[in-house]
Amino acid sequence: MNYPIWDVGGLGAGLVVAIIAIIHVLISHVAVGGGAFLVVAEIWSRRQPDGQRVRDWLHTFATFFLVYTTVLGATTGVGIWFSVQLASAEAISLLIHQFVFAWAIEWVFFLSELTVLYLYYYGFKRNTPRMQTFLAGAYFVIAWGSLVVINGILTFMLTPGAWTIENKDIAAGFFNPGYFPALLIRTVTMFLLAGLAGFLVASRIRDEEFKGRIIQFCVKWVIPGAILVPGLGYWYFTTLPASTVTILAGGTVGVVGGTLSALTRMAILAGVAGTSLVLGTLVFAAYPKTVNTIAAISMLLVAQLGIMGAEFFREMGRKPYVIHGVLYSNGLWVKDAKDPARLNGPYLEKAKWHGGVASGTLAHGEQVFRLQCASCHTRDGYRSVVYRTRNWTAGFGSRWLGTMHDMGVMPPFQGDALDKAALVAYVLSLRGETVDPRDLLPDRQATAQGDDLDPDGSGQALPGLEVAGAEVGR
Amino acid sequence: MRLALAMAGVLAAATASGAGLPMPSPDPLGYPVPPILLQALSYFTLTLHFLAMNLTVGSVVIYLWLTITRKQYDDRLARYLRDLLPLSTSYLITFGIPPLLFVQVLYGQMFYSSSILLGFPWILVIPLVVFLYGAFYYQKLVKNPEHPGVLLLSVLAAMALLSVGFFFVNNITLSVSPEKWMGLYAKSPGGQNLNMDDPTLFARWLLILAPGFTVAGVAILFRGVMMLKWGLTEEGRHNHRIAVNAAVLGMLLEAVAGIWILSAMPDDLRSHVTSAGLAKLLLGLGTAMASVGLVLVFLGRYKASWAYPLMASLAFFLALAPLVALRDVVRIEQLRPHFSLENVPVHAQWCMAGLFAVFLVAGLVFLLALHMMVVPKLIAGRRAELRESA
Ligand code: HEC
Repeated sequence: MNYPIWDVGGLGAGLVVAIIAIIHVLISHVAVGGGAFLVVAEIWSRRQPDGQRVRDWLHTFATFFLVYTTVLGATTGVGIWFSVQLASAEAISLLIHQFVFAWAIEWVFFLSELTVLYLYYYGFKRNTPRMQTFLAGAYFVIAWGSLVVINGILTFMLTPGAWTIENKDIAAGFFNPGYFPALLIRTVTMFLLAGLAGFLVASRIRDEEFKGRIIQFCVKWVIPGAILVPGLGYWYFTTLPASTVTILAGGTVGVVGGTLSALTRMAILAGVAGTSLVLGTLVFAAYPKTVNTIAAISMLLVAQLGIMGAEFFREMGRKPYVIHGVLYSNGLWVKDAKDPARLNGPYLEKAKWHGGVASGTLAHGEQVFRLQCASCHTRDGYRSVVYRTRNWTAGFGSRWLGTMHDMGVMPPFQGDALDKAALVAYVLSLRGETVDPRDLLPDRQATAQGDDLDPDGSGQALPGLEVAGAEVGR
Repeated sequence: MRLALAMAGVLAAATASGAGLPMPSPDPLGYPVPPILLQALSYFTLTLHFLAMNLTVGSVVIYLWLTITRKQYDDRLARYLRDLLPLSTSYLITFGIPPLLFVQVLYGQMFYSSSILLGFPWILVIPLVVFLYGAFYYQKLVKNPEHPGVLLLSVLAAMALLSVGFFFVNNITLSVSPEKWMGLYAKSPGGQNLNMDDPTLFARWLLILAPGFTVAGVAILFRGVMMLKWGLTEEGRHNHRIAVNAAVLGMLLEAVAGIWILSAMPDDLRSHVTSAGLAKLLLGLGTAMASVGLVLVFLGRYKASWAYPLMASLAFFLALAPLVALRDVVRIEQLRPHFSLENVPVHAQWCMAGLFAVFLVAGLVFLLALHMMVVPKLIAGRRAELRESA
């Protein structure tokens, strides 16, 4: 509630972050794995009988690699940072204040990575073989080093471990329980992706025999990763906090509805992506002729799909927090939420960005929506609140808000009865119903109990309210 | 005067929301080291960022101009600038990261707020940078860079670059004007805003961009020296003529921008910049070093000596750094009614700071050593290439 909410219509700020992040994850992993690929290819190419031709091919790969990783990799990395500032300023502020020097070290790695890559690329024809191999090796080590650093901050958000707001132990937060499994998964994935990128460049080679050799070389990069990643994923899963596991496993809350839990979906996605990659690669190995640009890009897209699944899984697993157990997605601090007086007192007084709306109006409700819900829901686009409340009646809404926290994926509601009434009236107004928030206050509600959708008073919606395929679109 | 500013702030707050400004509280974690260190790091890296940015802006404009006018030797100089662009863009981005990090540590609550209010142009920076960076690579790698389509692409890339600068200036100026926040937020909560009514906006934009010609001029001076040393006297002299013209043009524009921004500032801020000890010192130092730099460019004209372009580079660095610091002094003054650095607690992370210092020094030494091993060979190779084509 410290910051304004970037209220982007049908997308929601969170989805903007996700879109940029998904592109970045693929490219940044290719960027690291590609470094190892360059080292091995440097050595290998010089042992081939037709060395010059292989080196020309490697030069093409290096050009592609340079342009791709700098133009798309570096910029989307900065892009994630930009978008997170807009979507979760409070969280990025905490991360930056806590880990500023880790980030600064990360920057030293960026600077070195970039410079070494340029020396490698521009010296391709003039450096000695030893220098080229050394530069490629240095590039790989540095790029992997940048992964080692950023991985600490990324995993911190989901598993802060022994770090708490009272005891800010940087080392414990950085080398948190999720750190090593995640590092291993990312490392294996990046080798896999480097091989896939190799396919793409090899697909442009005309000479069949030569192309075959390059493809065989790339195959060895893909197969181990495609087999290992699902298993490592399971290990990572075992480090997650119990509440996250409950959410992902579907548990009692039925988060994503339907018959599949997020966990099952993820398992299926990982299995399908892994299997397709192995099969595709085997086909490539057996019939190098089939490797054309489209096929190579399709393989990258399959990998991208797997990564997307993993990232959504991670995001979903972190709900309702941005930083697990510390800060909720909508900027509410867990320590503040534990104080009932603070949580249940009138909201506008504490919120900063309400613009002085008159209390008890629809405008009041809109502010509450924006400041408390809009970080995860849009009105009627992505994770639409209109759709999710389509069966709400005025009476039900206010009571549901009192228990929304029990679903496990949402923060507790902040505010008093009037704040709830204003929000409910606003939500109803989005689908065209006009209600005066003041008419929804509990003391006026005694007469309106008849149309309650929650007959047993448990605060849980009727089964019909659970939303099938919620995550996917609406 | 401070009182006047404070009063203005309070008044604006009263009219904006009726309930005080929506100023977020500083991060509860406080500063990881005393702010002066963060400021110093940010001045240093921001100066490098500005220099790389200036090199890119100046190079792309001069490149386009040379390609369109096409006098003798222009094409080869144009190619040099064209090849420089992806490189300078890389460093412009990379050196932009630390100042952006430190501004968030130091002034996060103001900076995040203004970024969110300008959310749309702010996020647009990313696709624009991807586009211009990609275009710069494309025109370097493509077989026929003088094709009108490619030239058009370069023009668009240059415009994208200028817009990115414009959006940054918008954000930075808005971050020191909390009294405008609520109004903009009400106007467009999706962040389709700009800080257009800031009186110093355009002057500031020019102030940031104008040295581009000067910095690119120094880069051309370097090339001229190389030509002269290689015995390509005519071409070297041609390069030096362009270098001097560009450097002078940049400084003239910068002087115009400087006068413009001073006259556009609110009176009390201007009197602070021109009379308060520290601000006056920084301004004087910047101006003096810039003049020294310009004189060095003049003296280096037609001389086959690295000393002049090297010393001119140093002089321009020393000219820019105090102005970057002055920029921060002005910000602190503008924020005084709402915020001051001294009020944020310091929870020192000396261990982490030390670790960073170790990495930084090790990284720089490593890169320097590599440069000394690789770059001379590259230059020699380039020389052979030029000989062949001459
Ligand atoms: C931390 C992110 C987050 C915040 C903040 C949040 N929600 Fe949710 N909400 C979710 C998720 C995740 C689900 C479950 C998956 C889904 O339905 O997409 C959900 C589900 C819902 C549902 C469907 C409930 C059901 O029984 O299926 C409603 C209604 C809802 N939210 C309303 C709100 C309202 C109103 C607010 C603001 C007071 C809010 N949410 C704040 C993440 C959030």
